[in-house]
Amino acid sequence: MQLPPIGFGLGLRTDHYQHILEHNPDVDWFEALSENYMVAGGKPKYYLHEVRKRYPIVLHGVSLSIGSTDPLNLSYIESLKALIDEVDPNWVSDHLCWTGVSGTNSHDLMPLPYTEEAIDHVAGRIIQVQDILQRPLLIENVSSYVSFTHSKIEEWEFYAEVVRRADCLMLLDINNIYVSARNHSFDPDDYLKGLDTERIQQIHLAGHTDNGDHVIDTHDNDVRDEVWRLYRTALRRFGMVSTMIERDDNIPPFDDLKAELDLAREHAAEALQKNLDE
Amino acid sequence: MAYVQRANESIVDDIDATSDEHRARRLSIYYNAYRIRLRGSIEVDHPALGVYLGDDGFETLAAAYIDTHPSDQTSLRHFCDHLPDFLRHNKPFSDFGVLSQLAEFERLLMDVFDAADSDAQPMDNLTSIPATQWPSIKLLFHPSVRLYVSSWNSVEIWRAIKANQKPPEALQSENQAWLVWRNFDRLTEFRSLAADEYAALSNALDGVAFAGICESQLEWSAETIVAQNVLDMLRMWFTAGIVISIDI
Repeated sequence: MQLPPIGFGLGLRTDHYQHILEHNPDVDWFEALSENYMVAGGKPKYYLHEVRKRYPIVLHGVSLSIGSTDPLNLSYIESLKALIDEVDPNWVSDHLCWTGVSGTNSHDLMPLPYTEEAIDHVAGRIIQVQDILQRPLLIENVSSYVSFTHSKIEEWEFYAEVVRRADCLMLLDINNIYVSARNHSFDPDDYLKGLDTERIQQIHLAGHTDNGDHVIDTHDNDVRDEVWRLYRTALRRFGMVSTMIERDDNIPPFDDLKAELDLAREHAAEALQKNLDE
Repeated sequence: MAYVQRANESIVDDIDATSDEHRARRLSIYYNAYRIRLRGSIEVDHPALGVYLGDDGFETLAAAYIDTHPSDQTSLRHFCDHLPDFLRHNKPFSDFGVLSQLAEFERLLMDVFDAADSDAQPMDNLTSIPATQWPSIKLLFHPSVRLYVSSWNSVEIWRAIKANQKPPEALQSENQAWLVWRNFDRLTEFRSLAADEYAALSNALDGVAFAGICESQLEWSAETIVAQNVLDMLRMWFTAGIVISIDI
């Protein structure tokens, strides 16, 4: 079920296109935001194809809106399929959320109520999308700032069950677990313990903004110590998982991100060595 | 969605929270993120319009546009598709005709930027065609090619802002046509078009053959030189790399 791991990657960002092509940096793969390349041509497509010639690519979407009660957006899925055919990514991911309803888009990753009804709804839609794309999807946990009175189970139980029923894979965002744990007062270790090792295909790391009584998933600064700690715990539990750092705002020079990725390699090596020692 | 759009607040009762204040504070994160994201999209896609309006004008526009046009697209790339029309029909913006045309020009630049790719034809492929076949020649153009017609000095204003210079005073004028396209290096270029070249290029884009273009050019050129004048225009189009196919 799981696909072979591909090491340590970074998000493909326009600020870094030229640097990547000129320096061929020591990064194992890049994650491209699907929607940025669902265009006819020009520079975005040119750079995507040039990077693809040099590196493995995975596609990461934000608009599938798999949890919405709107019908699946078949036109979006067809565009995604066309992009997949063009790029031949190692895998394709999107989020366990809804982004819009009644044809209106929030461009945000909205949380779901954790109910049996929602599990059925979301898992059924993932299965439909996988049928159209003819490949497994990776589904990512999102950060959330509210929870619903309707929820009957914990987020990780909901996530694990959706993925199991849809027979898909997980893109586990460690920072999102930390952010949601702080916002909803749960133990992030309980989250990790509730997941199936064999479903976890990729890990996201990112920075957040700590506002004291709540934490916001901002992706605009370095990965914080508390997230590195949780990352090491995750790898000790799950073994090596392909890992990337998401940086979407306040984007630093490429070499700074590369240094942070090297730090991820060090944390991973330390965590996995500890497993061997035990 | 209704909550972030301030359409109704019925979701409030479904939010698990320790207090009303806690509930409102958490929901406001989504409300603020919604508006910040859409405002940012306007700012990124319409930088010259933003500078031209100034901070207060831009904030007024962003708030009014976000309230009037919720995003109906999966990509923010298209969130501002309605912006030129919005500026044209809504006060106070509609009192300043240049605003709509400036927004229209910036959207057109985006269309040119990510239009489909296609290989340009060299001029040699045209000159190697026997003269007897020339009257029926039709040209197909690069997908990035756009014609833009302004009745305000919107391009001059855009150009000044882009160069970090003080924009000229907005002036209404005779219609001025522009050719906008993406060049061999995937960079966007534009140049003004005289009335005769605008007519010729409009015809060519509509699929009119060489003979038909020459005929329509008689408004500007004498019969003895019209074919040469059209040929000179074609040479410029080939040199710019905007011709992708020659159909006979």
